[in-house]
Amino acid sequence: MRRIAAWLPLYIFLALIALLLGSRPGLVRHAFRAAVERARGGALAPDARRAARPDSSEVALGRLLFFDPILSANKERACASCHIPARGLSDGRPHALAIDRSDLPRNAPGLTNVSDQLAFFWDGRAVSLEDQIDGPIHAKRELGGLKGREIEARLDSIAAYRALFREVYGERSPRYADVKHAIAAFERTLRSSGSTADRWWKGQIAEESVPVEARRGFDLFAGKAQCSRCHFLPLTTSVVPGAFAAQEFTVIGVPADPQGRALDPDPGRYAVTRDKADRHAFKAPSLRNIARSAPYMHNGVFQTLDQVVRFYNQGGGKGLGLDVPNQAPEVRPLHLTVAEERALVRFLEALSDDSATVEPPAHVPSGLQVGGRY
Amino acid sequence: MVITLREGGETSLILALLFSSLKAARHVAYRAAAWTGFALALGLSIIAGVFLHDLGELGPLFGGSLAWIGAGFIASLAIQLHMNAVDYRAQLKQLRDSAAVDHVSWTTALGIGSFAFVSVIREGLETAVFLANGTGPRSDGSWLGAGVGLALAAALGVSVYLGFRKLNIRAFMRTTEILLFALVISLFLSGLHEFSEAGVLSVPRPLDLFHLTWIQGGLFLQVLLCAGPFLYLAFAGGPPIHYARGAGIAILLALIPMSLGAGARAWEHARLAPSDRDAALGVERAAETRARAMVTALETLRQRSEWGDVAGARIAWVEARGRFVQIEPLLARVDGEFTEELNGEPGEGAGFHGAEAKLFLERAPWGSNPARRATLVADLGDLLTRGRVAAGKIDAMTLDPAVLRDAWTKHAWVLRGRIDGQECGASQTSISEWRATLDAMDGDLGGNGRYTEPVRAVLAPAFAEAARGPRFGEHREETRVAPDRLHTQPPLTGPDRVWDSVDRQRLRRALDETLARIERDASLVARHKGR
Repeated sequence: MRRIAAWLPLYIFLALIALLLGSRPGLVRHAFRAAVERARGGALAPDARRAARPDSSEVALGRLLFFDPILSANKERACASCHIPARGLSDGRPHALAIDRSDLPRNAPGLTNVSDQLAFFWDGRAVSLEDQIDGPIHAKRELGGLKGREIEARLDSIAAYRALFREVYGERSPRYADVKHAIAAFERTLRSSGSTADRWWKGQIAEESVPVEARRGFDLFAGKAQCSRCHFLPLTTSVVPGAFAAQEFTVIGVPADPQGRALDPDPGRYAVTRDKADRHAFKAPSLRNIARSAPYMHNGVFQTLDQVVRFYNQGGGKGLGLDVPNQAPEVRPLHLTVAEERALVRFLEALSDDSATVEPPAHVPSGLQVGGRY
Repeated sequence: MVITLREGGETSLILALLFSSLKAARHVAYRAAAWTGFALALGLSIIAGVFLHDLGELGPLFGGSLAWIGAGFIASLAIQLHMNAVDYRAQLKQLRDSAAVDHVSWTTALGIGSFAFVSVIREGLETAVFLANGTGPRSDGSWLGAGVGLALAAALGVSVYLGFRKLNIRAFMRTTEILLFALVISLFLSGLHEFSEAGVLSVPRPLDLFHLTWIQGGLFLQVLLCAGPFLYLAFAGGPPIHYARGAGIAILLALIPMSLGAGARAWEHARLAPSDRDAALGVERAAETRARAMVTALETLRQRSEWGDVAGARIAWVEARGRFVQIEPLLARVDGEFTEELNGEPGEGAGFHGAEAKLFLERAPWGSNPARRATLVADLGDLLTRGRVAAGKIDAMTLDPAVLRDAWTKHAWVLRGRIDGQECGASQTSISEWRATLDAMDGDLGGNGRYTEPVRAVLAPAFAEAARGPRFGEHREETRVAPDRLHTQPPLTGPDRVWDSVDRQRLRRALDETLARIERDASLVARHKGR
């Protein structure tokens, strides 16, 4: 009895740790996954995993898998069903389409420069592209929830895939882990750095050749409109420059409808961290090709960039008169004039890059419809 | 070197107490278990240092858990010691005469081994990752510094262990119990801090500040070390001369870390070329002066806020902020995480930006509202404490001219971000921040203004305008904006207007030119390559 009593403090401390970590299972899981991914990647920058050459066989395999509905339970949906090249690698819908043709809770984000991110999904619950791919594949409402073994069996039954996997990953049958590696390798090539704004910043084109409105818009972006407080330059993501080791999530008070009658109920980052300060916080997406990936926000509430800029100009959710307790202090009435709002939109349009368009393959090894049926 | 000494010092003290206690009990098996745990943890730490570069978000969770497990072990050990002390009083002679204790509890042995393991790996992992990253003001000397630091810390622990046979066991045990209890508190607070960093719980501000000032800086450990001899004497009793000896030992223990720190800095300086040595001393003195000026300004800021003097508080804030941006790149090299905390975020209580938002937004209602003023003064007290800790870190750092080039060029992102200007309510301070930054760059890099000339050329009109008087624009919190007022620009006043007139694109290009000049400066590059 005395011996047990002597070790009591240790038991109490262990119980405290278990209670504390148990109260934040999402955060602990996220931290573990991030540590494992960092150990694999070796570095901390967003491009920690060096992008494979666009013409490499791994990227080619990833491209086929990205457009092949073989990964969905009903063989009618592919990654490209929600990430359509012609629509800025988004789908043009406010809410992504579920496998049963109903609406999913959130908007499908554009994938341009997706490897500039450190956290994936609107709430950042995935910590690598490979980790993210698990989400839609295993979600019953997205691609039908196939298990890794089922996917391996399907791919193993197709001779062309067997050959491709052997060529890329050596003498073995297709593995689910390699499916994720291949798709991620392809997604890392979805890069845009040739927009008008990029070429201007790099000195590849004369300043005078950039429309005056777009130049003024850039000044507003970095200055009065405070956009770059969350969409950090030059990535335009919320990955904090310098060390590029952290990604920020911000509460801006996105409404449930364009009229701003109520706050969108989606808890956002809170679902991952269970931290009250993260309630309604979302990741600031990359703004590359943003003009092509309408509608906007996690719930697709705004159809145009003009609406988005006006929302910020009014002061976010608070500016609409909504009760947003944690709204970021920098999201407040900006007092942009109509001309300034327009200039800002012109600058965002100048972030569009035609060279980043992805060409779908003519056919996929499964023989199914490229990009899925719907 | 000083950092690794601190990490190793805490571990060595804990282990010295553990081994000393085990020696009293003459449990060979227990000592073997402790050494096994120690060796395992040391090996794992070294492996972690080689393979891990950063634990990322897992680090604080891991560190916090280990700190609390360590606290649990130490608390259990203290209880066991206390229980055994009753036996000591009755069976002291028998215990001394016995060659070995008959019964060995393997669960206890496992516990002791685990305790040694946790104690070492907790600090060992942190030190190994720190060394592997090569961060700090002089990373090239950190491995050697680590070796010397750890050896000295280990020597301290061994001397306590070896001197054990001459000690009054009962008094030593009682002293040990108290010291272990204090260590439990220290580890508990460290764990709280780590869990707070991980975002799994929020720590009350006084506790966090206590951790920052006493625990994190190693002051708590030093006080413990110095108090040890007096506690021992108080329990052992004896003539007054013994207390004089105890005081001597306490002073010696207090002097050891101080002299080691000074020695480490002297050693770092001795490795520099004579011309660089003078420059290094000059730069260090300048950084220390700026840090002290920041603390003075923060003291004024808190005082003015207590008085409800809005204008005076804002002027003091601008002065403090200007001093902070001057030491920011150097401080970031010593402790990046702490520097970010001190810089703060708008809307958060601690840090410059947190205080800034409250001081400048909402037409400063704290000037007339005592409740809001009390909250603000509490925040500013927090900021002042952090400022003092920053000054302490600057005092302890060693610099040479070569690393300054890196410090300023690696600070490029922060400088470019500063062009954004209107970060929060006190955007008008941007002009004074720029002036302070440029002055510091010129002072640190010894360029006689040739590096910063492009930026100064762009900002000259704004500097002249802003110098005409400390005028601060007013902002106020607005919620719903009436549609007819949406596009109505509120009138800008004073430096707000000045900053709004700055050509940001020209400023960006000028800053790039300044950083390029620093990068390609032949003398700085040659000196840097010569290291």
